[in-house]
Amino acid sequence: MTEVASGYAEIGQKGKALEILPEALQVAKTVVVEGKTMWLLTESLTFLFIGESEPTALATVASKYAEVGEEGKAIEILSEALQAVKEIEDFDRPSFRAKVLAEIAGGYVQAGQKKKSLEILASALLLAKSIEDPSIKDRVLYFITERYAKAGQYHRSLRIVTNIDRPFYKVLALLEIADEYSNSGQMVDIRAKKILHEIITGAK
Amino acid sequence: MKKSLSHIIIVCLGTVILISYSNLEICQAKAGVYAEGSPLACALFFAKRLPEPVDKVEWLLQVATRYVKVGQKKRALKILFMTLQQTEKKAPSAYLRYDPFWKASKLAAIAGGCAKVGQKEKALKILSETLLLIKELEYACDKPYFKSRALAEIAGGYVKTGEYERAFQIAKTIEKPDSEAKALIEIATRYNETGQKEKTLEILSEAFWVARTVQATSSMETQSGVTKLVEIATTYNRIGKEEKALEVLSTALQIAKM
Repeated sequence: MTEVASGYAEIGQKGKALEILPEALQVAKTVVVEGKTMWLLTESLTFLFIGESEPTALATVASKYAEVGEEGKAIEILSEALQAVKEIEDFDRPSFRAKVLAEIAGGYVQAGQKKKSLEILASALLLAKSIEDPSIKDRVLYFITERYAKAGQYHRSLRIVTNIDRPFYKVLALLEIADEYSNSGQMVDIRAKKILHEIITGAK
Repeated sequence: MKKSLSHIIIVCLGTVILISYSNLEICQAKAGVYAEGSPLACALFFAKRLPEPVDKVEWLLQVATRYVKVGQKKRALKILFMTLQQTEKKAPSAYLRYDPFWKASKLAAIAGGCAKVGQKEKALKILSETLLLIKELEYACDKPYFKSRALAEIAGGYVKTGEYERAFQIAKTIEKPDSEAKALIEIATRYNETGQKEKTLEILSEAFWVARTVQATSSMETQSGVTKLVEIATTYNRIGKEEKALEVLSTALQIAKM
């Protein structure tokens, strides 16, 4: 439903989008936590989290409200999403919690709340560092990298790439960062080049 | 004599220092070639080093696509050829059991990339070979989802070479409606970009009809059908058909609520 709302917003029918979003919000509140790790054949086909959870569904609806210019409503929903993360016991797994927090942080960026977004990303990063499985850790770090890049924190996101071990996730993270540089038209400065050099040479 | 000998020693020493310095520079430059440019160049460095051919093909292709997007055609073409070579390496048999049409999909995507950087002949050659590969594979396996996906990629490749009619013929052979709709949307988009409004409307109407038939047997399929309908709606809107766009979005909403 949120995608259809985006479609309405894109063709200039903001009112119609706003008619759909309250219903999408109600649906989001009924989403049951479902997080499974599924490893398939090669890393290209690895899905760490199958299914949805209430906070991620709420974050998606919030981002759509932000898209149609209703930042206040978006922030209200994001704060509900943060509350939902605290309340769900199944979120004990740091990998799941870190990913959900990063998603909520992304919503705050869209709602223009960069400071709040960075606070949440810092918590997500702390959680990610406590993940024991190296592959899951790399994947979650990649996900956080992407959100930092979307928040315009290029140096910080590149710095996190130096902590990613597997080349596969390094590629994914660097491509996301490259896209963000390209979308924003930002130039790669000397500091970024220095970190890129560290990433290549393996220096941390 | 002494003077000329010292001259020779100085020249030799200078040469040694110069060569050593050059070597050092070359080593530094080697890391720098990737790092100094951009995160994209750095991604290329790691994509080349991925151990699994399937991953290597996938991510080299992603890097090449981005080089195409930023207008670095020469580098993009070089990476596309590198990717083409990698498709010759055998993918793990477990992977091929999962998606037997993997190679066909990737070859078609490489062809699309070649077309975008102006290598039309090369693209057409790869596409015709890929169609032959599909024919070989379809006797051996029954995986309509993956076959449809590969054919949609081939149709997309033909669109990029400007062969719209051929692309349409291939699109109409696709079994799975979401893949068929994907191919048709790509054809309609290109017709629209080249100012052929009537053709755009004709193909969009076909795409709308096909996308409505996506069987929502899973949330992923529902999502895929809705995505295609939203794309069709926004394309209608771009060509000034707002009422039609609203009709398509209303259908998308009904499906999303199911």
